[in-house]
Amino acid sequence: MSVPLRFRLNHEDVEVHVQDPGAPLLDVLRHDLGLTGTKSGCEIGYCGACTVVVDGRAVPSCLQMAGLVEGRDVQTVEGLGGPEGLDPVQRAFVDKAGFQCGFCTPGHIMALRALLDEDPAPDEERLRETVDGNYCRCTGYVKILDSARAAVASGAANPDPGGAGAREEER
Amino acid sequence: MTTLAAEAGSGGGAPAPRPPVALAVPRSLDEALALLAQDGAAVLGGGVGHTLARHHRAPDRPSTLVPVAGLPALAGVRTGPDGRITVGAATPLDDCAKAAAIARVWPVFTEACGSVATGRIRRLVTLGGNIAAHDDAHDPPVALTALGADLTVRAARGGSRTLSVPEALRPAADGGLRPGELLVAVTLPTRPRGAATGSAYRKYLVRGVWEYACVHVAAVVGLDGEGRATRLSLAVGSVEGGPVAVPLDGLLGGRFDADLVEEAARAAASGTRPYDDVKGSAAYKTRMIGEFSRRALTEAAHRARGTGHHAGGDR
Repeated sequence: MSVPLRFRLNHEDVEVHVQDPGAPLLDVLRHDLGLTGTKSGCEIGYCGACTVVVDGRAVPSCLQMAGLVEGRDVQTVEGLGGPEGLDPVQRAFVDKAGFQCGFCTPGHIMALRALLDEDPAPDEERLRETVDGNYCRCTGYVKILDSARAAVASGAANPDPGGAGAREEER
Repeated sequence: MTTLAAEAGSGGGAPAPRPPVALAVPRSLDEALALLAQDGAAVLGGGVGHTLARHHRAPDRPSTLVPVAGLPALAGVRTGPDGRITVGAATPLDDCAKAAAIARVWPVFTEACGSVATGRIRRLVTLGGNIAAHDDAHDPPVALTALGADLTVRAARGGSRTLSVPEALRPAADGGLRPGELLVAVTLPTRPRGAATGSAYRKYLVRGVWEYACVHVAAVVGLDGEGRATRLSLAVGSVEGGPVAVPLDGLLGGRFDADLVEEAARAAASGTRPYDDVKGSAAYKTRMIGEFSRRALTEAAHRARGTGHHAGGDR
């Protein structure tokens, strides 16, 4: 007993048969699709560990009903980077050591990816607002913000022509 | 219409903790109303409330959800020829909080929408869903109660009707939102000519960020040229039967000064019944309702007089 759910996931069309379209997208990503890069934290939308990008916007996938992503574009941390290397946001976190245990890192990276796709040169306030949406219980956010600034400085506006950067050009 | 539903009767394997829902996705408002007229159907806004409710084992859940957030008829903020601002019920709270047209006229509504949860959650939550959730801890309904906003409600049968927030939140048998009805829009009043009007929302968060309020109060104040109160509206949330509009008509016509504010704050504290919870005891909240009523009324009056912005200090 399952329901077909079709959407675009990391630049590919996917169809997944879900038990319940009312389930959170987080569960579909992790349990049905085996994409465990998206972390399950508080499950009430506050910690940001499960952040993915839906139609160019960072959303907590624990609150995003799976059935409502039918026909939409979803990006998870697995969709970043490629054979040529890490996404510039990932690169910045490695270079600046922007994590300790790493559990919150995919959420931070997806939130910053969405911000930079929308605004390639965000000011400090926007960076702080974005980082504010993701709990980190190891660090004091200093190196996370350093990573975010480094990503901006490296010109991390989306290098992926098929992703949200393409939508940016259409505006 | 697209239907996302598991085939009935083909169940097997381990029982799910909750029965799966079906989503019946309408392409138009009329189709949505027709779907909602069926037994067991319920409106789905941004889906946040439903997704959170999975953590609770609520017994009777509708079998078919009708997502309306994608309907153009329910989208966006527009100003009508009469100057009244209408907000489509599917407008995300983040858009409500960022609408300059609203902030210029009714900052109380801007502040209430902007105070909800986090930006990422505000982008998911729709205004209509936030109201129809019947949750006295929600912020926008408190502001809309103080404003005296009109809710436009439609049904496949019975056409359209207009309700205030307190009316809509009554039990269906007493005229509240009924099964099969859809909240389509929220219309804000115009500011009256000839009186200086200001409004403000004050929300007391025990931890300071990202939680439901301990106490939240919305105020609208109108002043005439002599500084007398021509309008005093105060609404309080997170209390029994909330949002509750505090009757202050007895103070109208009086000079808007510290004594009047004190009397209004006393009326708010004595006229509402908060409940004990993790955010505070009822007795504590009653004292805070008085305090935050003072702050909201004072700020609304500052704005009416144009004597500057007095933000913050809500801790």
